Amino acid sequence: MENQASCSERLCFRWPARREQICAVMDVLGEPNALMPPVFIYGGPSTGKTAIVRDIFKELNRLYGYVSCVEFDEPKTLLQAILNRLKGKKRKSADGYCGEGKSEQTAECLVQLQGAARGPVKYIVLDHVERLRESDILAVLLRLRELTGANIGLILISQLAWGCNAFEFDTQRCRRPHMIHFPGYKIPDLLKILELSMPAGEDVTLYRLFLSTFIGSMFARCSSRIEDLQRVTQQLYPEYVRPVREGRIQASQHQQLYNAFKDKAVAARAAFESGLHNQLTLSDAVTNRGSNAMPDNVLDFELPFASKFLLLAAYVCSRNKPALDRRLFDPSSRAGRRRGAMASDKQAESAAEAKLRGPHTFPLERLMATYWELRYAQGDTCPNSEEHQDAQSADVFLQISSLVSLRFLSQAEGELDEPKYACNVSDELAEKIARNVRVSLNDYVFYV
Amino acid sequence: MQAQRLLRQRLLDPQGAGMALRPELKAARAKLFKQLSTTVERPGANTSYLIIGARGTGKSLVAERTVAELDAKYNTNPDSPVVGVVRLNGLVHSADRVALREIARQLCAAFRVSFSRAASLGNNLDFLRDMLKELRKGHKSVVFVLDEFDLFAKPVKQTVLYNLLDALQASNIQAAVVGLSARFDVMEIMEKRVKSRFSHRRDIVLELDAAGFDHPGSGVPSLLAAMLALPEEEQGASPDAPCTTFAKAWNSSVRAALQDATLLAELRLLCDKGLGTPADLAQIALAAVMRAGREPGPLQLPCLTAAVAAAQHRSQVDATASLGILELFVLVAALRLHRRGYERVNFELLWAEYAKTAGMHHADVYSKPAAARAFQRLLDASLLFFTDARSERRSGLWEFSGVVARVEEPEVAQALQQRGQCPPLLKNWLAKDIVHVGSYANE
Repeated sequence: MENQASCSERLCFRWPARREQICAVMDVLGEPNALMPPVFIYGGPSTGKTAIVRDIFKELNRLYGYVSCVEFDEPKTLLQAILNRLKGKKRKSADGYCGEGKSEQTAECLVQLQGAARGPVKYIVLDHVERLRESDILAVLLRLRELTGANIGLILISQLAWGCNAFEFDTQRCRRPHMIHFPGYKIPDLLKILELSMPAGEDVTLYRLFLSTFIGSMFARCSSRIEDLQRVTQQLYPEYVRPVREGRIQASQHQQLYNAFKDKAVAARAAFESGLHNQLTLSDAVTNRGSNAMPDNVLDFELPFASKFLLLAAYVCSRNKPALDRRLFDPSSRAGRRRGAMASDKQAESAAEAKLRGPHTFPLERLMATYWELRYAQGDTCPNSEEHQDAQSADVFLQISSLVSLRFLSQAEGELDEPKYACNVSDELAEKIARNVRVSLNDYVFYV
Repeated sequence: MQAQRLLRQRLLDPQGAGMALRPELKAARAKLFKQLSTTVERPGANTSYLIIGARGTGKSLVAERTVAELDAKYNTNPDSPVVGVVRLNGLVHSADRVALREIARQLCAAFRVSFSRAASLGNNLDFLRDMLKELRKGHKSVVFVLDEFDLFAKPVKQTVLYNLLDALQASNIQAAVVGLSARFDVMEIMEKRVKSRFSHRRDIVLELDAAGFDHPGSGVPSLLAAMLALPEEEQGASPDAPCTTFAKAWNSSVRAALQDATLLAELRLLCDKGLGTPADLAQIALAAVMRAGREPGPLQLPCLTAAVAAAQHRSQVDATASLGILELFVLVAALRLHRRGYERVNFELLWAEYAKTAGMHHADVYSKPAAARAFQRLLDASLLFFTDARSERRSGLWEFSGVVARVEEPEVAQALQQRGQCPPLLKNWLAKDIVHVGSYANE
């Protein structure tokens, strides 16, 4: 009893802001050898679920088997893996690290479990249980005690909450386990955790000041992932203290330090928000932004000339409504009705709406028609030679199928004789291609 | 500490060792016991019996308790048992190869016969028939307990049920099949040939009556009290039992805690939501017991209150409450669009909606890539999900793939309340369609 209390004290010191959760897990585990119901621990990523559970077992000095459902997603292999943990088998290089034995029927595994789990309680930690949703194996696992009488303490760890329609389905065949929630860290807690990883020999007050003024207010609000924040702290802190090291600013002149660093922090935040800091170091982002500008009309990949036009045509088709084609490409219908101011407002509104709703699919014929219209408008083929058009058609179809296999286009719904396509070209790419072949997209894309 | 061990044992035991049954279960148990003991005693009587009831009402408890009693009554000589028990579960044993193998294994274990692991389906079926014949000669009997009975009736041809029932009828053995199911129409889904071999005895275990909440024998508080009660009488025999004075103190403390008005109101609310089945109550009791292990001494009111609060299953709200600010903004944007009549939304729509708040002078203005990451995290948390499951794998334009929010407005509102430190703009944005820039500043 005394021992348990001191254990939980030590754990709470090591894991800030997790006292309630640690106590809840310890309650369930109870004294050595106490029976326990299956526990379901859930919480977002980076809330310390797995680490804390493992640390608790270590602190209590109890053995446990750890099985990750990422590794074993078949019910059979999962049960086999659990069985092997219970028996204490190790994976060896001799059998190619598979070592999980031959996978057998669920029922057979359960019989073996019965034999393997006699005596004192054995603990199994199952990580990433969200992978098991919509599978019958979870219902079996939650009833292991009933089915086998085995003395197993099952701890399930999941990133998904139980209630997300993910686990409860099929007339609730799964019994609800005992649940423990690991909520996301609040910002002050995050700062406390970051303080723990302070490099040795730094000025504590300065470090705290840096965390609270910059990390807390600027970075922690947009991502509460600890590894992200740790990384950004490691990268920015040396930058922050440089004036102090070089003796330009005293450590006590907080305002000057703030002013000196503010711009860099804002620049770093832009990279941090978009997750770019994982690829390039933040200081890079701070120093050379916008230096890698390319010449305007150069593509950084190669495409056949006709393919570029096909992509543009597909882009136009997927954005514009079919009714617009006639107005765009048939010169005889140019003389449209005059519209009032109200009508044009409405049209602008619905154009904006259609833009947000996203691209739609189009039949092959429309794509071909638009393609030829774009080519004529460019003026590089003679518009009236039908034969020429037919001769090139085969080539064009070939290019369409290669664009499909490159995933620029994808075949959507539609019958065999009239396939429909969807265009996967983003706005920026379309703009680039258009500049490359000197087409002004603004003349063609109106959305309505 | 002995109290802890005893109660954990009891609440986790399928037989509910030593716990008093509620009157309804007592009646069901008595009926089943009478039925099964006639099977055991009278030659040539084989029966089948169905216990139907909603999940968590105590069907398995009744069956296990009865079987245990049968075992105690008839298997007096441990060397030659009279009653054998075979337990099957529809979740695991609904395929006939597996089921017959398991039947053979359990029969072998019950009657001390060696089991052949290599036996095929045909071997096992023959073995079942031979075994039953032999057992009949020795006036022994078997009880088959089939949990999740409806799953045995799910495969086409229902071969497991047919083979089992047919073998029983052909051999004229004294045997009983007890089926447990949560499906009330389980009689109708049985095939004709199975049905004709099944005698139509059944018992329905009803749920707790909401009107009888305060009933002294079967009301919710009294059930909880029964689950948490420690035996008070002097028991020299078992060293596990806690001493009488402690048990008395414990029991009176439990009774006192269950008098508390707010706790009772919470419990009643739980029952009205349909979360008050006996199995749920057992879970509450277990949670309270586990919590009480923190300090020595009898169980106190706070433990029970915490256990009841945990039983409300608001995991969705909890998950929403631990999201980041930007994720919440995106989620609320989705809810606003749904409210405006969009059946599904996409990232571009969400971004446009969120971008409207940029003019409202608040601290949480983020770039589009940041919003895209938040969108991805919401998808990971399964709070938003793609309407077309293929969207996840398609490399195409993910920002235009349709998504739907899987939470409701009240849940999000509750989550914002629970979260604390949430910008007032966000709350307003969720509650009202039009937010005036000045209107949140003074709140």
